[in-house]
Amino acid sequence: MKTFFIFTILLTCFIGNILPNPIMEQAEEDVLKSVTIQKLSKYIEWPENVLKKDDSSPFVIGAIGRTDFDSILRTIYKDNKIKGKQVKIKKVRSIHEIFGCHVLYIAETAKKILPDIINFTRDKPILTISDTTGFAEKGVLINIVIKGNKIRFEINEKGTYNSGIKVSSMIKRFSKIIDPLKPN
Amino acid sequence: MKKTIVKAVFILFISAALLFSQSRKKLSVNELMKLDLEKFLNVEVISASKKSEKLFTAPATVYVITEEEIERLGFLHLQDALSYIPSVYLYNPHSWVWGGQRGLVSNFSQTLLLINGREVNNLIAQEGFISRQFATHNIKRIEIMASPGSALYGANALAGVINVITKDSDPEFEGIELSFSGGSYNTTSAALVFGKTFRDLSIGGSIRLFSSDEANFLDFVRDKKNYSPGWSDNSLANQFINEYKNPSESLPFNFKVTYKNIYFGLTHYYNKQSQGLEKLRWDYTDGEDNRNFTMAFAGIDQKITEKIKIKIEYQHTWSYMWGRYHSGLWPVSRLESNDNFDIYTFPDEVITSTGEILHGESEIIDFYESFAHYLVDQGILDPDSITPEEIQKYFTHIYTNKNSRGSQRKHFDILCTWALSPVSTIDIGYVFDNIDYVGLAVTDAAFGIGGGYDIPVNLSLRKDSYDSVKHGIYLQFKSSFFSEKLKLHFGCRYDHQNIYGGTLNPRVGMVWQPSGNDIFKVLYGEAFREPNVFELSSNPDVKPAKLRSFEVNYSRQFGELAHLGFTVYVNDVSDYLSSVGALIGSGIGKVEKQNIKGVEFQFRLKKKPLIAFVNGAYLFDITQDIKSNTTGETDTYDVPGIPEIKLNLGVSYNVYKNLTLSFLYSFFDEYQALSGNSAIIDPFMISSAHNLRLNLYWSSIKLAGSQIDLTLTVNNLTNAKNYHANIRRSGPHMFLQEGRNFILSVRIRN
Repeated sequence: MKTFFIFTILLTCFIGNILPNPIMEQAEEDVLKSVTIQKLSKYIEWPENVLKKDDSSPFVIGAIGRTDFDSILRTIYKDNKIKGKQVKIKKVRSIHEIFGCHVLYIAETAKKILPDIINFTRDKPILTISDTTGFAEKGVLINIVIKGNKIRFEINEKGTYNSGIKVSSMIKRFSKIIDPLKPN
Repeated sequence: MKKTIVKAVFILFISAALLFSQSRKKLSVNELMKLDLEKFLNVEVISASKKSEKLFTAPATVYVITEEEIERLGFLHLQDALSYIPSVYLYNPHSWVWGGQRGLVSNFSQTLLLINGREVNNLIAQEGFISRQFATHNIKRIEIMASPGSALYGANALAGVINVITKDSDPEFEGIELSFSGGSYNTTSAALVFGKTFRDLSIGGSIRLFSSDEANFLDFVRDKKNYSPGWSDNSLANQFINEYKNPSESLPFNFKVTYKNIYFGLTHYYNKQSQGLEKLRWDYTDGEDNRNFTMAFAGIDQKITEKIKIKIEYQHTWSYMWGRYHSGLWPVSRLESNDNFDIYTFPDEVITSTGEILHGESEIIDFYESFAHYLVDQGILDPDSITPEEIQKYFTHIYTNKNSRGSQRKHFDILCTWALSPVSTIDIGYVFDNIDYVGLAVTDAAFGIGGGYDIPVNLSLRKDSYDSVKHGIYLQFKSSFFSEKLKLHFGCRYDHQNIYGGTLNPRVGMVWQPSGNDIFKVLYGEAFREPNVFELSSNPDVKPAKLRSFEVNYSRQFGELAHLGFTVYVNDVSDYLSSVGALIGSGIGKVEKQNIKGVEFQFRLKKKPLIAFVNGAYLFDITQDIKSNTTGETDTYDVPGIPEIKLNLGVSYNVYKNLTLSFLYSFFDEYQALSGNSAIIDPFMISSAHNLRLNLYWSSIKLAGSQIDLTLTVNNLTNAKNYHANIRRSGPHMFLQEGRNFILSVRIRN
């Protein structure tokens, strides 16, 4: 039995290390979701009066709900820009503080106040983003989902249209459309 | 034939599993920022919810059991899950579970048991007491650290740490779960777990009621060959052993309230069980062991600046134990030397021969008067040297006294975490710990009656209580280099206790992750197990046991698909302390040192619809250096009582929609053990053990807006006769394990 035990270990070790393996690129979920905001922003247009072209005004990302996501965003956007602008991360503690945000990340823990958030942001050029099942149906503009271990999106098409934000078809290729403008 | 099947299954399993292997590269933020959208959306997510994976780069060997595994594999109690961990060795006398990690086995006093990071070891003997009180209805994750942990956790994290993370402590847990179960041995339980968040306020809690008659071992306790060989009065057995009863009950509950960064809560359990097979001899009907444990805690987790966080917590623990015990010698004494020697009951109310009704302390004093008289009868106490006042003084407030105020612990912890840079963190902490032990504070290792009591033989050492005051300071530094490929960890903790003095325990770890999937660890650590109140009473100069551990660990991650890990370790323990004389036996001499060398491996696979694992441990060298009582010379002895080889295999397959079928198989190779009857000197062989467990899990059945899960677990499917060694040498030769038994559970989630 002793010999078998050692043999099993060696065999496992050996096979595990000699097999040729294709390389799969990975990143941690929180990091990927944070960077997703930069990727989305490349393919999204805000009305000109909202996102001025001068570099002096920052790109503002708000985070609402009990989450450490704002800390992660701060670390990631300390030296990275969005749309050529410095990024300001704002911890949003009440509804009226949403004002001034270009992007608002809504954590799952804000579920209770989601109707209030949606009421406030409706028809305003604020890109609301979440990563909670069912939030897109409730009015969040883009919900990040993980499918087959990859980042994908759910887009509330009617909501984005009413907000004045234009989402490129490039994003829609990787998205499921919720509340479409033209029902299927 | 069995061995051949085992071998074939393992090899097939590992070969098949490795076909899934694929190399991974973890991308940095800068690399992610540069990717175009399509490539970015092709990057694989390392799930944050799978925090367990981060533990694989921790400076320790860590095994994790997730909630999903608990559900699919049908674990009902903590010990069910622990038995499938390579580093953990369990011995079950059917009272409470004995054991430990990596060859350091006893009453779990060398492993620190935590619930949500808070210590719940028994205050008196510092046992990691595991009976029926830790059930899986409220377990979100179990983390088993098999490496020394004193550099962070302080005393008793000698062989490692078991940390149980509960569902109700998780602010993200929302809703209600109701569970009911029933099965063999008239076992029933009902449990509730709930969690609710109202804006900044979240509350969570759980409660469970459990009762069971437990397995009936009447035939086994009549078995003079396997249960009571060498007992001088075996001929009386059939006359008195007509019934075997070992019922158990437990009532654990937890509660936690969190408002923003402030929290408070309660962890409580009451557990009642009989003595199982541990010490009983003649009376198998009313042995009783009661434990009552309550911990209240409150704390604040405050971010001072972007880089500095402070966590402050206070814990207050009350610990009581009481009961009725029966040992090999006492009943004999009752029968043969003093028929009126009634020391066996702790009635709530006693009517004396004069008609007087006694309550509380009165009858307990009666009990200890009887106890003192017993010692006189045995020639242990000189009747001329002890007065009735001394009997009352010295034989009251024993720790098994239900009416005592119990032992208490005040614990204060302050931790400051400072992010020096994005890749470097320093933790600095201070701990104050005051344990007010109430109890029988004197023991004499040379004297024991069936291992049942520690007795105040030397009255000059007897104290009503012991006050342990301890201060600890610790520092943990971790930093990453070369794009986080190399991580260095340094930890150190100094503890000073008012009786045994100071001890310094460092820990150094180097974790090298050359690619996203290979992790190499080189670890060195020291840890200590502090002498408990009995050991300090026997010898005020006793020093803490000290462990020096060196280990090398290699693991390979296959994304979220699989994990493969190997560890080779060398543990040396000096000033060895054990709850009993030693595995070899107290008769030989003092154990000065214990040396353990071993290897562990595990492979875990998760690919829908399959979850599978194989793991094992091999102790290739375990010895003790013992200084002889007679010659004074030190010799090295092999340590019996611990299986050299253990292997576990689990396969869980989602066979149809939400129906999952799982098989778990555990194996111990045959091993040499000493008889639990210390009068028998020659070791004997405990035969190899095979346990096959079947679990059927039907999840997410929708009914009236609720989600229902059904679980049927059949343990020891083949009804194999498996035995465990009596490592505490408490009388019985060895312990038979339960035969085939089943549990049916229903859980309703809302």
